Amino acid sequence: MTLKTIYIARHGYRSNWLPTPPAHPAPPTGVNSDVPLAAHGVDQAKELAHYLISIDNQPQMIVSSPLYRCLQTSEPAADLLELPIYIDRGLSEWYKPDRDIIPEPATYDILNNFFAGKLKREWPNSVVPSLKGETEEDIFQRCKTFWPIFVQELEERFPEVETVLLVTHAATKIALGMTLLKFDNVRESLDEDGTVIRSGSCSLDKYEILEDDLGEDENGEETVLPFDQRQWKLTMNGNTEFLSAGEEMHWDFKSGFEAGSDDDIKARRKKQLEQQGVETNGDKKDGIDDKDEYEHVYVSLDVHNRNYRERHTVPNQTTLQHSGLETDKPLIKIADNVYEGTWKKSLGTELAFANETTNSKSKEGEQDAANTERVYRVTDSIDLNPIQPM
Amino acid sequence: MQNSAADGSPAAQSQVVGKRLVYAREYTLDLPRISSVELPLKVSAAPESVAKAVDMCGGLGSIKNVLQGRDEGGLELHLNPEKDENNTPTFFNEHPIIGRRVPNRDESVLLKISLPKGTIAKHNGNLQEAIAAATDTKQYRVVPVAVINNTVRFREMSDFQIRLDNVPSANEYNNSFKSLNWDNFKDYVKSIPDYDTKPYENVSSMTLDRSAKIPSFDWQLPAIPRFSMVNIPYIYKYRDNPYAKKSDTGESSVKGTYIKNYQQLVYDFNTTDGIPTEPHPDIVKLFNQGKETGVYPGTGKDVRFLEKLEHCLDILYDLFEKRPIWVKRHIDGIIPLDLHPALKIALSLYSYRFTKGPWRNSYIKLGVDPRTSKDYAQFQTEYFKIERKLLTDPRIKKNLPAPPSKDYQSSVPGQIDPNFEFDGKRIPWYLMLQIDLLFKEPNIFEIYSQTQFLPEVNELTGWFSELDLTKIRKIVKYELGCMVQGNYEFNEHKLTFFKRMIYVKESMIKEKDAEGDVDMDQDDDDDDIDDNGVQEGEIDDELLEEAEQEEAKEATLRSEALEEDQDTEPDNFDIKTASFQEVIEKIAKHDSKSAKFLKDHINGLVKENDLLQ
Repeated sequence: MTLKTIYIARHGYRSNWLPTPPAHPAPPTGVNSDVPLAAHGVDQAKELAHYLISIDNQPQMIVSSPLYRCLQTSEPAADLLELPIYIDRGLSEWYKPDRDIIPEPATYDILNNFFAGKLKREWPNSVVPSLKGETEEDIFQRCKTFWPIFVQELEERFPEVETVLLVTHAATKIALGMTLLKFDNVRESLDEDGTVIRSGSCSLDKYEILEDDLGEDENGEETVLPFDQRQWKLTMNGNTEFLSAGEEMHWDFKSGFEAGSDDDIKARRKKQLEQQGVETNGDKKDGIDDKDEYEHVYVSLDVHNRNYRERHTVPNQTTLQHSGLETDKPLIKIADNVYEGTWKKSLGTELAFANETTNSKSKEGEQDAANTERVYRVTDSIDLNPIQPM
Repeated sequence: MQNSAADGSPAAQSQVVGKRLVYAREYTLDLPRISSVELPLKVSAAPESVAKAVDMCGGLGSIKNVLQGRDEGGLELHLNPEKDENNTPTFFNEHPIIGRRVPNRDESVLLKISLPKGTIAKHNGNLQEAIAAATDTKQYRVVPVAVINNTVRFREMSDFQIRLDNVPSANEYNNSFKSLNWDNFKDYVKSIPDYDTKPYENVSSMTLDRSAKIPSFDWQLPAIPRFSMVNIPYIYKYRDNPYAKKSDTGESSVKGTYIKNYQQLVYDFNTTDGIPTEPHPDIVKLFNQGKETGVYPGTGKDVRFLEKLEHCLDILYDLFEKRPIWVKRHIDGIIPLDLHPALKIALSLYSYRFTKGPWRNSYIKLGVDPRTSKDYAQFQTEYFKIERKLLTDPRIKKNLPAPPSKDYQSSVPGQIDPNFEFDGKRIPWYLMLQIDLLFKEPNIFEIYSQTQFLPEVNELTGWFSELDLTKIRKIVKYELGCMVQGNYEFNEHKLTFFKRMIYVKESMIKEKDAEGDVDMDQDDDDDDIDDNGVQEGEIDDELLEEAEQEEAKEATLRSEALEEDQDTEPDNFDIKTASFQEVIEKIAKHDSKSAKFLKDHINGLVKENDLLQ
C-alpha cells in the first residue's frame, strides 16, 4: 500500500476580502493575520466537501495548515468524510522576509478550543517554515523538503492510506505542486501554452502517481519506488467547478503580493475600478484570468457502443486527454481507448443537474449551500468512435 | 490501471525535461456522476430560459424524482404551462409529453470549454470554429467537469389534445379547483346538488355560467387523460396484400374475396318493434342472385361458395330446429371444416342477435323472440371471467384448459362438445355459458328445477329472479375458483348455503346478525371471499375478441391466409410460463406437421415449477 493520490485544496474566501471594512473580524486565535473565513468562504468549504463525497476516490486522511482559515475549510470535509484533521506546519502560509510581523501559527491546544474533537494531536510537523520569512526560493525549498518527510511519515504510520487531502494556502499550494512535478522553481509554466497551477479560493488540485512507478513483485505484492524517484501527474488543476460562484481570487507568484493579503486585495480592487472605467458592468468577482472575461460552454462526449443491453461506462480511476478540438475530427483518449470525434449540434437541449446526486450520500438534514442547484446547458456534443491502432 | 506510457499514448509523448514530466493535459475522470434531461426544446443560455424549461417539466423536485427512479410514471413536459392573472392555468388539460429514463445509458463525459467572451457569438454559435479561432492565442481551456450517466429523454409523441375553453363545466372546474379561489369554490360546491334527480340529463342545466353558448347536443363529456395508447410512432409494417397478385403481363388480380355480410342486430332489449323474422333483404337478394347464376355474387367460381353455403344452411336448419339459440363457438365444432367460410353468411340468413340483455351475443333463430316464452330461459347466457392476476400465475395457468383451436371439431358429431359444459368436474373451454350447459352440475339443476320464473321478462335477469341467478352464479364462481386452484373437493356446507340463500346480497343477512350494526365495508369483503378469483357478468377477454370478430361486417373466404398474417402480431407467449399445449401451438404456427408429431409423441415435458415443488 502506498500513497497514490494527493488532493491539494486552498482555503475558502477570507473575511478580509470582503469589500466593506466593518465586516472584518479580528483573528480568533489572536495571531496576526490569522483571519477566519467570510460566510461565503464557509459556503465554499461546504461545496468542496460535497464535491469530495460525490467522487469515487475520496481522501482517507486530511492534513491542514494550522491557520484558522484552513482548518475552517477542512471542517465540513472532515465532517462529511468522517475523518479527523491532522495539522502540519509544513503547509503554512508564505510570508516574505520584509513583512512587518512574521506570524507564528497557534498551537494545537489553542486551536483545539475552536475545533474541539476534530483535530488530531499526534502528527509531527514535517518542516517548520522560517520565522524570519521566506523568499520564493525559500518556500520552494521548504516544499521540496516537505514531501519526502511527509510521505515517509504517512506511509509508515498509515500504510493503508492511498489518498490524502492537503488544505493549504495559494503560494504553498503552487510550491507543493511545482516540487511534486519536479520543476525548478515556482514561476515556471506547466506547458508551452503558459498554463500555471490555478489557485482560486477553495480550488482543488489532484496529483496522481504515474502508473509506471507501481509494479508487482513475484508474490503479487505491490512494489513501489522510493518517494524521490516517483513521478506524479497533475490531473486536476485548480478545479472550482463545484463552487457556485466559480473561481475567485486566483493568485500566482507573478502577482507580487502575498496571496490574499490586504495589499493583494487593494491592488485587485484598484484594477477592477480601472476596468469598470472602461466597461460599465464590472462584475463584482474578479475575472478568471487577469486578462479577460471568459464565457463557458458545455459539450458532451458521447461514446455509442451500439449495444442496447450494455452501457458504456467511463472508469473512475482513469484520465482523459484531448487533441485537435478545433478540427473536424478531434482525438479523445479516455482510459486506454482512443476515439475519433465528430462534432454534433443537437436538435434540442440537454440540461444536466450538477448537484443532483450529491445529496444522497450526505447526512440527513444536511441542507446547506451545496444544494443550490446548478444546471449545465448542453447543445453541442462530440460523438466518439473508437479507432483501432494501426 | 494499465500503464499508459508504454503504448505510445499521448502521455508518453509529453515533454520530458530532465527528470521532470509534464502531465498538465491529462484530466482525471474521477468526477461526479450526474443526471440530465434531454429536452426537445431550444433552451437559451439565459437563466430565465433554463428556469422555464425546468418549470415546464414540473420543477426540480419532479425531475429529481424521475431521475432517481422514485417516480416510475416519467417526466411530464407541458409545452403550455402559462397561467392567467388569477393564477389559473390557461390550458389546464394539456396532455403532456412523457419523458422516461434511458435504460443502459452510455456514460458521457461533460467537457467545460472556456473561451474569451463573445467568441461564440462572433462565430454564429459554431463552437468548433470558435475554438479554432481562439486556439492561436491559447486562450481556450477545456476541462472535463462531470460524467453524465442517467438521462430522461422525450421519445414519445404528443397526445391528441382537446380545448375546453368554451365548455362551461370545465371553466367552473378551472376557476375553482385549479385557481383555488375561495369565492368561486364556494359557489361551485353550493351548486352541486346533494341528490341529483336527473343524472340522465345534459349537465348544462346545472352549470352556473350560462353566458357561454354551448350546443345542446354537446354533453360536456370530460376528456380522458390519454387518448393515444401507442406512445411511440406506430410501426405500420406495410406489406403486400397477400391476396393481390400481379401476373407477368402486368395484369393484377385479387385472389381472395370479401363478401359483405348483413347480420341483423337488435340493439335495445326493451324494444317494442319486435324482432327480425326475415333475413336482411340485401342478403336475400344476393343469395337469390347466386342461386340464379350458380355463383354467389362477389365470389370466384372456383371457391364454390354457394355450394358450401347451401350445405351449411342445411346443417344450420337442423340445428336451429333442435335448439333455437346458439353460441357460434358451439356451431363451429359441428359444421365441417370446409364449410366454415360460409358459416357467417349462413347465420345471417337464419338468425339475428341481441347486443344486450340475457341473450346477448348468441344467435337466435329468425322469428323466435326469447322474451315471449319461459322456454327460452335455459338459453340465457352467463359470463364468467378468471381474474387476470390469477391467469399470470403459472401454477394456476397449468390448471386451465386451453381453448379449442379455431377449426376444432366437436367430439360428439352434430352436438355441442361436452367440453363446453359445466359439470363441476372440469373447467369448461369457454366461460360464456348458456344455462342449460350448467345442468350437469346437480346443485344448479336442483335450483333450476325449483325456480319460479318471472311473469315478465327482465332486461337484466331474463326469466329468472335475481335470487335464483345469484345462487347459480355463486355456485359456478365457487366451484370454478376451486378448480382453477386445482381443488376438486368442494365444501358441501358452502354449496348448501348458496342453495338456501334468501337474500341476493349477504350483507342483507349480516345486517340482521350484527345486531343492527351495519358495516358498509363488509359487503365488499364478502364478495371477495366467495369470488374465489372468478368474476361474474364480465366477458372473458377471449370471448370479447371473438364477439368483435363476429360483429365485423365482412366475411373472408380465406381465413387461413389471414391468420398467418396475424402470426407476426406480438402475443403474450412466455416460454417460462407456457404450458405444453401453448408450446405446441407456437410451433404449429410455423410448422404444423412437427407440432402434430410432437404432440402425439412427446409426453415428457416437465415445467420448471413442477420440478421445484
